[in-house]
This record gives sequence, C-alpha cells and structure tokens, in this order.
Amino acid sequence: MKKSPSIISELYPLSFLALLLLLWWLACALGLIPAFMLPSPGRVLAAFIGDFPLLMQNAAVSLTESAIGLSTSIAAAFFLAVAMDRFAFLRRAVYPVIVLTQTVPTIAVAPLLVLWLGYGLLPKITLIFITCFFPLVVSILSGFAAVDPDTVRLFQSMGASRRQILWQLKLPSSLESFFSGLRVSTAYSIVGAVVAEWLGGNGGLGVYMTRVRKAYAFDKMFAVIFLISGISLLAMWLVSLLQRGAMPWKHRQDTRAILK
Amino acid sequence: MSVLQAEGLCKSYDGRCVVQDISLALERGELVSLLGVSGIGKTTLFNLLSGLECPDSGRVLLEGEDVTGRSGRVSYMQQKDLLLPFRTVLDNVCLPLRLAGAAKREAHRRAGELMEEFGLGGSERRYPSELSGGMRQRAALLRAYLFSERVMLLDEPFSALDAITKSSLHRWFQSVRKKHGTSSIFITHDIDEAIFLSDRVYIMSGAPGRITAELQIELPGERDEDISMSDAFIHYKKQILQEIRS
Repeated sequence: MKKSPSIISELYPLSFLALLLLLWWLACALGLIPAFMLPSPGRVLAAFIGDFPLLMQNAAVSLTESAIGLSTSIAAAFFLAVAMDRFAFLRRAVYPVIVLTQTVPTIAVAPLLVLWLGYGLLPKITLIFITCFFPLVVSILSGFAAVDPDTVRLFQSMGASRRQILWQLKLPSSLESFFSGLRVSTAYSIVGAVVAEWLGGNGGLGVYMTRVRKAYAFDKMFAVIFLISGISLLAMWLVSLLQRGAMPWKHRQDTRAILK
Repeated sequence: MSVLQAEGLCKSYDGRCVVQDISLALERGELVSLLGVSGIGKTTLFNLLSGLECPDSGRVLLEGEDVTGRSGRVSYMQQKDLLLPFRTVLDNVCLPLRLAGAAKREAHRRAGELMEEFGLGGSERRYPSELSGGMRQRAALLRAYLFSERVMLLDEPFSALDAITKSSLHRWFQSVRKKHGTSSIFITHDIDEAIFLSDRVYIMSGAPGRITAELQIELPGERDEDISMSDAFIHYKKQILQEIRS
C-alpha cells in the first residue's frame, strides 16, 4: 500500500524521459539532423566515458567553488536574517536593496567580477555567493515571519528571553522554509560556478565547456551538460536527505499521510 | 492572603476601554471561573494578570508581591494548545523547565513522573501531530502545570473539544486539581462547565467589560456526570443566566 503510488508517480517522468531519448536517437539515426549539429546519444555517451577522468577533475574544481560559495552564503544569510528580524529598521533599509540585486543578471556581473578580482577562485565564489544569497535570506525571513504570534506570547509568558525565542522557537519553526530556499540555492550554486568559469580560469566544468565549444566537439559539450544537470539533481537530493534528518517530525507526518 | 489578587485593573486600546475597574481574588487551592460572552475582555484580563500586558491603572499581586506587567510568574494556557510540532510530547511538556535552565535529564525526570497521571504515558516520544485533540490539551495542561503549580490561568482550554472528550476531561481535571491543590482561574463561556468545575464564578458583562456578579458554587456530594441534572446545579444555572441577561 505504501509504495505503489510513489512508484507509479515516478514511472511517468521516467517514461517521458525515455521517449525523449528515443526521439533524439531516431532523429540522429534517420539523418534528420546532421551529426555536427546534434550528436547521437551513443556518441555523447562515448564522449562522456572517454573524457571521464578529465570531467571528474573539472567537476571537483566546480564543486569546491560551489561548496565554499554556498556555505558562506548560508552563514551570511543566517546572520543577516537574524539581524533583520531583531531590528525592524535594518529590515526596512536592507531588504529592498537585496531585492534590487536580484534584478541584475548574473551573466552581466560576472565580467565585472573578473575585472575586479582576477581569474582565481575569488570571483567564482563571489558570484555563487551573490546568486545563492537572495533565496536563502528570503526563505529564512519568511520562516521567521510565519511563527505563530500566540506561541511567541506563550514563550514570553514563560519568561523566555529573546535569544531563547530565537533558538528554540523561530529557528526550528523556519527549517521547512529554509530548506526550500536551500534547494533552490544549491542548484544555483552549481550553475553559478559554471557561468563564472566561462569567463576564464584554470579548471572547472565551465572552463572545460568553453574549450570543447571552441574545438567544436559538440558530443563533449552535451556530455558536460548532462553531467552538470546530474550533479545538480544529486545535490538537491542530498538537501532533501539532509532535510529528512533535520526534521524527523515532518517525515513521520508524511508517512502517515501516505498511509491514509 | 490570596494567592493572586487584582485591584482596579483598567485597560484601553486606541482610546477604547476594554476592561474597567476589575478587582478579583483567587484563594489557595481554589478554581474560579470567569464567565461571559465572547469579546467581553476576558482574554485581555488574562494578559494583564499574566503580565504580558501592563494595565493603564490598577495592580496585580502574586502572594502579596506586586507583579504588575511582569511576565513569567504565573502559568498561562491559551485556547490553542500551541504545542511545538518539532518537539516530541515529552520535550514539549518540558519546555518551561528547559527555559528556566533545567538540564534535559532533570526536566525529563520531573515531567516523566507526571506523564502517566496526565494520560500521556507511552506517548513521550511521539510528536503532537500524532496525538488526539484531548491528549494535546492534556499535554498543554501539563506544560502549564510544570511552569508553575502556584497559579494557572486557563483560557478556554477545553472549548475546541467534542462534548464527550470534554466531559471526560472535566472529571479528570477535577481529580488532578484536587490532588495537586493548584489554584486556577478558568475562562469559559460554557455555563455548565463553569458550574461543574468551579468553587466560585465571576460573571463579566457590559462594554467595557467589568465583573458584575460573584457566585459561590456549593454542590453536595461528588461532582460526576449526573450532577448536571441535580436541583442545585439547575438552580445555579438559572441564577447565572439571570445575571448575564440583566
């Protein structure tokens, strides 16, 4: 009873994906699209296997940048959200500016960062930091705002300090909202790393991508695209796993809902 | 000396007076009901008594000490159970002890002793979402009790429950209260509930809300489910209805 609905719900996207792959393979096999424009799935797979060690090397570089950028972003978002929750004037002053930064396209900022910070690790991490920051701050703040004011009064009636209310009520209450922000930011952090690497550097999937594009090796281009989306999916799955561990009460509720 | 005493409490919001000149006293081991229609200012009065809000005039005395506008002295249970969804039942109940700085083990030990009596035995490791309405309410009551056994302010704690659960909780609450000798003020708009549970009833009416009548409830014999059919019970009910209408 418990498993069948989830298996069926996973079969739909899988079979659609299989259909798309089949169409792609057919288009190539029948010669509808020339191979230099769209390499066949088999050639992409061959390129992936052939370049596997190189791809992994570059992925390690990109993932390191993502991890540093994302974790500093989480830390900063956390501190800023707590400060904005504590001081209303800070929220009024800073929040609109944070929203404003979201209207600037990442791709436009990247060359500036290279100009200011060079070709090393720093411009990449900075770009990842900027792209991840917004969803994190917003999700933490909206989690804080969703706390029932009656529960806050309950804590106050028990003589709780501001710090106790933050740590024992607001933070655990905002976990769910935080994790949905984190999922988005995690995906952004990987894309952010690739975009930053396009503009130059010594390693990373973005650098690899630029090289194979210049060599017109489109099978390798496709291989790296699939690798990037695979890594993003894996990272988001890890976040979900982390969420389950961090919110055991939610997990039990879900199980009950499925059983019903 | 009264455990809790209010003297001439007044409170207004935006120039509109909500409660006016309220004086009341709670004796040790007593349960006093505040009875009145919705919106009469009962909850405002509780906010004043618990120190969450400061009155415009008047004062609140806890065992003779002036505690006006100082929260964290008397326990206050609101209408909703307000259990934290992310804590187990035992950790929810322990909240006041932990906030006061007790170690986790010590808090668990103290709460653990009472879990059985509050009908929560075996549910320690469950989450609030896994409990029935009646159990959630009992957990909230235990949490309030662990905060302070001296004085409990209970704002319609049973109003969200179905009639059957409610009447069984009434009997259970009556026995727990007698055993532990807690002093409580109980807000309700249910006349039967007020007569069944109380030693004394204050009736609030008018706008702004004030106390218009006070009634000592003396029912002969055990208070069980049949008592609501007794003559004495019906007599009190008539009297209260009259007071509210006048």
